[in-house]
Formats: sequence, structure tokens, C-alpha cells
Amino acid sequence: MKRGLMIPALITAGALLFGAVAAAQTALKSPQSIKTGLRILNQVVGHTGRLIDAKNYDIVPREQQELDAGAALLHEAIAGEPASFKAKVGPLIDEAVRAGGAMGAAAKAHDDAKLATTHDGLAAAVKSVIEQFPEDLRPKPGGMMGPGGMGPGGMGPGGPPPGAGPPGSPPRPQ
Amino acid sequence: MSAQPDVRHLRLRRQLILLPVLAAPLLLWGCRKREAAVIPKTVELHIQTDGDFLAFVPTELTCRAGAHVRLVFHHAGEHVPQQHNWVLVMPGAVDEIEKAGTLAGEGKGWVPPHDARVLAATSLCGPGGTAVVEFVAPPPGDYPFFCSFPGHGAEMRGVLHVTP
Repeated sequence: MKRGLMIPALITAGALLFGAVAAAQTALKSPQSIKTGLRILNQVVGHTGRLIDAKNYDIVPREQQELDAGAALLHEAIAGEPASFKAKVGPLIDEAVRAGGAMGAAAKAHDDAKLATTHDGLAAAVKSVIEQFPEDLRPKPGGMMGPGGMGPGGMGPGGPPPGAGPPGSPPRPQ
Repeated sequence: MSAQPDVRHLRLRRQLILLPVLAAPLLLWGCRKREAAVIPKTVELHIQTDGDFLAFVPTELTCRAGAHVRLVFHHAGEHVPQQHNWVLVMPGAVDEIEKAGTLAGEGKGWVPPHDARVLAATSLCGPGGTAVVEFVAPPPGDYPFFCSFPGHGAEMRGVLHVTP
């Protein structure tokens, strides 16, 4: 190949590769809604963690509404995805909602021990949901609050949660 | 010879009359200018939530000391039925006011009543709502603001820069 043609060819190949990567990252049909839904769930974990730390138990059950809203948004956002993906992620979203309900019940009972356990359960359930989505849609590390989170107030080290897989290879919908 | 002093006297009298006539507008103009420099205009500041998330946009506001501020706070959330407000407090008072606000309860808008450290506060706002508060900007300095709904203040906060 002539030297004069080599550079444009390389630029074209690079552009095509970049386009392919970008297309792969936006494979999900409603990435923005997913991003928002995940951030809402993550926000609930952080917020309830702070409320529990401050023994502000009366507000905790109210956070269920926020959790429900985030879960509804996620269900709606994945409605157009393949059935196998929905079958995998849907129950995990529902599990996060159930975990929130258990935490709310513990807060109403002012049961400190159960509240700590159920909050950990909610954090784990939300983390499981988040891990089902590509890295670029997950809440940013600074926003990962609460136990299991990676931001200020979280217990994580600042890296991806254990078992989340190597960076750059997030699970994709089947 | 005797007419000379009269003419001079007349000229002097005319000058004495003209002087205040000419000086008055200048004096008035000068006063008006000074007045404008002392009392700053009313400023309107706008702030909103970052959609449904626990954050203000922008996180920094600026106004001049003594300005009459009209702050418009908009809750830009769509999905999450949570309430927010905007509370301006004295430097270093956020944590104590947040605790006091929680004790005050929802009926008081999560804001402690009659607390001199609270400089201004909007009412609570639901998704899509807007609240306005008017206040006179405090002396120059950096004043923190936050949402006093329990647990929100850790993330929903910012600074009002008051310039001289």
C-alpha cells in the first residue's frame, strides 16, 4: 500500500473500531433510564445508611417509595430487552424491593440489630442489580454510598465490588 | 466712580445665585450615584435539584453583601416522591442545624424555628414544585446551604459566596 494511503486507511479503521465500541456500549435500549434507576437504588442505600446511623428510624420506611420508583423505572427500562436478560435481572430488582421492605419493617420495630442486617441485605441486593449492567451505566464511584458502596461513607475500597468481574468486561444482556 | 461698586456687587450677587443653581443638579447627581453604590439591586438566584438525585445544581451561588436576594428553588425530580428544601445557614452550622431541623420535625419543614443561624429557608418542595425565599444577603463571606430533609444534607449542599 502506498504511504499516502496508509494514514487515511488507519484513521478510517480507527474510526470504525471506535464506532463499534460505542455501539456495543449503547446496546441497551434505554441506557439513560437504566442509569437513573440504578442511581436511585444506590441513593436509597446511602440515604437509609445515614438515617440508620443517626437513629432516624421514622424516615427509613418512607424510603420504600424511592426504592419502588427506582425499581419501576428499571423494569420499564429493560422491558424491551431480550427475555433472557429480563428473566435474570427482573427478579434481582424485585429482591432489592423486598430487601427494602424488610429494612422498613425493622425500622418500624426500632430493632437495631435487625436494621443493620436488613440494610446490609438491601445494599447487597442493590449491588447485585447494578452488576448486571455495563460499567458505563453504573453509578459513579463517588456516588456509591453506604455499606458495600465505594464512595464516601461506603465500606468498599474504591474499586469494583468483589465478584463484579474485571473492569471493561461488564456482563451484557444475552 | 460710585457706579463701579454697584456693578461689582450685582455681578457678585448674580454669581452667588448662579452657583447653587449650577451646583444643585451636580450635587443631586452625585448623591444619586453614591446611593446606587451603597444599596445593591435586587438579585434573583436560581437553583434546582439534579433531577431525582440528592444534589443541587449549581452548587455555588454568588451575590453582593446587602443585596435583596430572591432565591427560586425548583425540585426537578420526576420519578422519586421525595421532598427537598433550600436552607442557608451561618458558616460551620450545617450539621447542628440539620440535627435541630430533624428534632423540629416535618411540621416545621425540618428547619428549627427562631434559630439565628438560619439565614433563609424555602418551604419543602415535591417533584416539579418551586419555592421562593427572599432575604437580604449577609456580610461578605462563604455561607453554606443544604437540604434539611433528614439524611439529605450529606450530599445536597453548596455555598453562597457573598462578595463586598
